[in-house]
Amino acid sequence: MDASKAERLAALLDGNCTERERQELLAELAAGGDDLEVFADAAAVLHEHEEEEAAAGVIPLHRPVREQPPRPRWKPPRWAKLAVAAGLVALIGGGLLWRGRGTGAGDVLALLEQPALGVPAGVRLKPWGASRGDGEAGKGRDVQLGARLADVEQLAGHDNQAASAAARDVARLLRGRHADPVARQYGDLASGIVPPGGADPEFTRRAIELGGKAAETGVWMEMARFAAAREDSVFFRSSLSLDILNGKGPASVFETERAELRRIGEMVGSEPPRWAEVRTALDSLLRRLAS
Amino acid sequence: MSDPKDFAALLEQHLPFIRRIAAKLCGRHGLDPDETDDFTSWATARLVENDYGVLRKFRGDSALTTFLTVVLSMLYRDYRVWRWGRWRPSAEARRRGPDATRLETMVYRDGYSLAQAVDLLRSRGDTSLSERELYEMFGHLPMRARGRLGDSGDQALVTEPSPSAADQDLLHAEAEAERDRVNQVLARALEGLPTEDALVVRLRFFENMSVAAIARALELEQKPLYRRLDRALARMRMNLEAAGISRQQVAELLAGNEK
Repeated sequence: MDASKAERLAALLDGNCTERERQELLAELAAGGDDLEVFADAAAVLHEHEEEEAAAGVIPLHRPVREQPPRPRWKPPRWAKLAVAAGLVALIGGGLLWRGRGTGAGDVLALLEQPALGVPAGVRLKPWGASRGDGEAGKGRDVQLGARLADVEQLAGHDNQAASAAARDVARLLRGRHADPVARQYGDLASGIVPPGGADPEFTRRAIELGGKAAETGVWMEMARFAAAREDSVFFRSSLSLDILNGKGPASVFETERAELRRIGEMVGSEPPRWAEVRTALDSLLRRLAS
Repeated sequence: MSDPKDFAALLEQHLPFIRRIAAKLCGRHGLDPDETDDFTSWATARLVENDYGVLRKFRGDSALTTFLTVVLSMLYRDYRVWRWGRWRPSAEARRRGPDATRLETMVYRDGYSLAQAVDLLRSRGDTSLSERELYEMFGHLPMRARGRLGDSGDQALVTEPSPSAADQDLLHAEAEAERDRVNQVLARALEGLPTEDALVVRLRFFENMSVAAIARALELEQKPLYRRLDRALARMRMNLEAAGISRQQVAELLAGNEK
């Protein structure tokens, strides 16, 4: 029994692969063979199980709840060193663009499709302050847009009042940008019940497109704050997070913040991770970027 | 988490889920309740062995429940080989659903005569199909090497057909040769599709997955997937007909996808 192969297939089923890994696995499966049967069996019974659970009102239909795994093989110091080294290489090479292993908007959208777990205790939403963003334009506003899009998805099914407030902010931040249908969708969510699955993915994708790299940054920052509050190292080991912490985030957004990001990467990679400092640093960084 | 007690607790916590998924897997493959119990015990023992070795290797790249589901699917494959060699239900039987899978399994793996299998399925309430419908369904299944009644191990894979199956075998022989040829052409037609389309067709056509389950598994939108499947099938249909497969055979081959 190949546990490593099992985990690769499971990651594919949960949408936790990079695009490159996904394409490799799809090619292997498309060629047929025993793994295709395993994948099909797992996918079919999982789908059936999820539908039954959803029908019984146990969990939302769209995705199984991600659980905290045991991590006996997790060795932070090693990857932290590698991450910092990779970051230095990227800086020396002048690679200050958001690129890397196929990461970008697709990975950010995948973040938004993560199961809604609610907002962890102790996390202050909108750390930039309630009045910021009104009438603002530019980078800060789009970072806010991304962060509030993440809030809508994570709060859906957990706290309708807060989810509606986040949707209202999204609608406001989109106004006047030739985005009427998208703004309307979020306006509708704000005035009703936000469904457990969050907003329609197509509208979310369009909203992210309108906000560009700054909105993508806002999504990651907000999800990173939630992950830090949950002390979830796995989030910070994803290729998207490693790219950002290594200085490969969008230059237009992070140009003055790369040292801070590397410092956050070191805090997460220390043994044990310095979560309290990570939380403070992320809050502070989001406040700056969203202002 | 490195203490064996932690992994024992983790396994204990997920035992209801494991039992449920194991039962679904066994149902998908036409196993009866006794065989399902046997597989569940066997699979649980595999998860415990080597000091919970499988759980220890889990890195957290997916939800634990998803990982366990894939692990159980892999273990089912191992279990089937251990119990019955490389025997597995045919693609045709799986495409036709659980009734066909059970019928084929009873006749070709366990060695029941067709009449006995039909009687048993109906008397146990395992099917809502009539006797005639079951006979007709069996006529569409590919001919396989037969097992011997009562065998549960590799002996079930004797290659000599039982006397009671001789007539059926003769009836199937010609169709089987043609089916082999069609399958070869089908494989080539699949290779001509883009990777993801080929996979979608395989999952729908060979693995009997619903479009909704495929969409979930591959993280694709469900509605466009119907259109995509239609386009892929149209392209395959064209290639199959160009390769000399009759229009009727093509329609029969692809029928499961066009329901």
